[in-house]
Amino acid sequence: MLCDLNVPFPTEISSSSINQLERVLITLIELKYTHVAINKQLTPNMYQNQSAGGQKNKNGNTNQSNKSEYDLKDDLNKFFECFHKLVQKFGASLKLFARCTVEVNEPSKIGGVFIAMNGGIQNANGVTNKFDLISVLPLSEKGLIYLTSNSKGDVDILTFDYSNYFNGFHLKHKTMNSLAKKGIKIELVYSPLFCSSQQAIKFIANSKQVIRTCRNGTNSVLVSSGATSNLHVRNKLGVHTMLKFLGLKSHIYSRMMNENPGLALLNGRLRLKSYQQVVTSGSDVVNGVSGIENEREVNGFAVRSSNKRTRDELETDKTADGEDINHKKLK
Amino acid sequence: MVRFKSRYMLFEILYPPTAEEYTAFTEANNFVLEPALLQHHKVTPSDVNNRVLVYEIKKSLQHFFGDYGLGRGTSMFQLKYFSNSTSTGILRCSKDDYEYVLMTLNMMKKIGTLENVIINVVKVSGTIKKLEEFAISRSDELMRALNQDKKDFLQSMSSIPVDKNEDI
Repeated sequence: MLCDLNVPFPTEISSSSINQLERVLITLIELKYTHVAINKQLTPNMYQNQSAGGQKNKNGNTNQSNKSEYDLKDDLNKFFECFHKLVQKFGASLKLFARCTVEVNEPSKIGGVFIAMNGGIQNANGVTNKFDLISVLPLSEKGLIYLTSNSKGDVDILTFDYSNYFNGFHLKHKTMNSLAKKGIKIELVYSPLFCSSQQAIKFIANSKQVIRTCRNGTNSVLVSSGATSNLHVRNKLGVHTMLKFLGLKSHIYSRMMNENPGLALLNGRLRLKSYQQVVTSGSDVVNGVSGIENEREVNGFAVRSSNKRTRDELETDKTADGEDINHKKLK
Repeated sequence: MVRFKSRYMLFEILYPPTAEEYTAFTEANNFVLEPALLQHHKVTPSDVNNRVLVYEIKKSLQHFFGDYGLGRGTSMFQLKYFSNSTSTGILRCSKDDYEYVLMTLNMMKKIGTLENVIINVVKVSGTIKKLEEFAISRSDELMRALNQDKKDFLQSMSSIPVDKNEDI
């Protein structure tokens, strides 16, 4: 399992931009990636004064404000339409996930965007599409503080813009550790390193700052490409080399590539398919295998019992055979 | 007696498809993944030979790590093998300083007249024998994938071995 949880979706949908996205996916297949998330980024202008979930106002009419300029719901439906086409094309060799990144500048203007994203986007046919992963990109210190104080399990990943310096805010151990305790993963996006020398310099400065504040990022940092071009992706060995040059040890960077992205995906899957991230169904939650064993219903929830057999079951086996199994072995 | 220890790197030059090439594939084949995947593996032009490759790697070492990096990276540096037809090569470096070369190969985007390429380091090993065995098994798997039916192609591609070693 090799994950790349950040392949940006183009801001404007056209044949050339989709072509570019598909070329990135093709190169990722060549480099042996198996799990890839397509990332739809929402800027503050996109979601402010909008109703993404088609909520109704007090008069019972659908909110039509600013529809002439930009319609978020329509845009997200187009994203899911393209996403399903990509799943049909690349589903045989890649497991694709839908991810939404919300840029947060002013917390007071967020509104219900996280509730809307978690609730799903309903299209014209009445089908509700949900994002597998939801991440936050703070543009100011206020945005970061909002995440530490107010998020209630509705965010999986915290990401930054590594191609620009963190203007106006300074990362602290306390903030990043409180996020790590909540299970939110912090993302390193490595594509600026391969873009231009100016972006590479900024990437190295920013990523060193993130790694320092996350105490080397053993449990909390994951790595993804964020590549808009197929020349900016690297294989596992290439990413390991890059992380080694950033001063990390081998057991840490291998965890950043394998386990932490898997945990982020698990967190996202549990948010969608569980009751308070505790009770869920299915044997393989990350891969979404539908085979359910030993499932039973308790108070309206699907509960899967473990493979350990109870003492009563073992006793019934004994009585059915008439002899103890251990006794048979002795004979 | 103390041996001089070195590291050998197996690398391949990948050619990610350009927009025109990719469009041509998808239009001609009504979107089939195989030719687009195979597009990454091309014959390297004959003007990229061993001498050009070594020159470009040293130039990039100088660019990314300066005189210090060039000095460290080029101790015991040797291009053992390079094939234009398979775009595959083997490099030898010092055990202590091979990371500089590895990182340089990662960062390179052009070799001489060739532009927009990825130099993909597949495996790093302590002996050239193990590396050759790995390269042979890898190319065997690729040939098997090519000769099989289209339905099994993607499954066969995924079975092509990768370096399992986590430490570099």
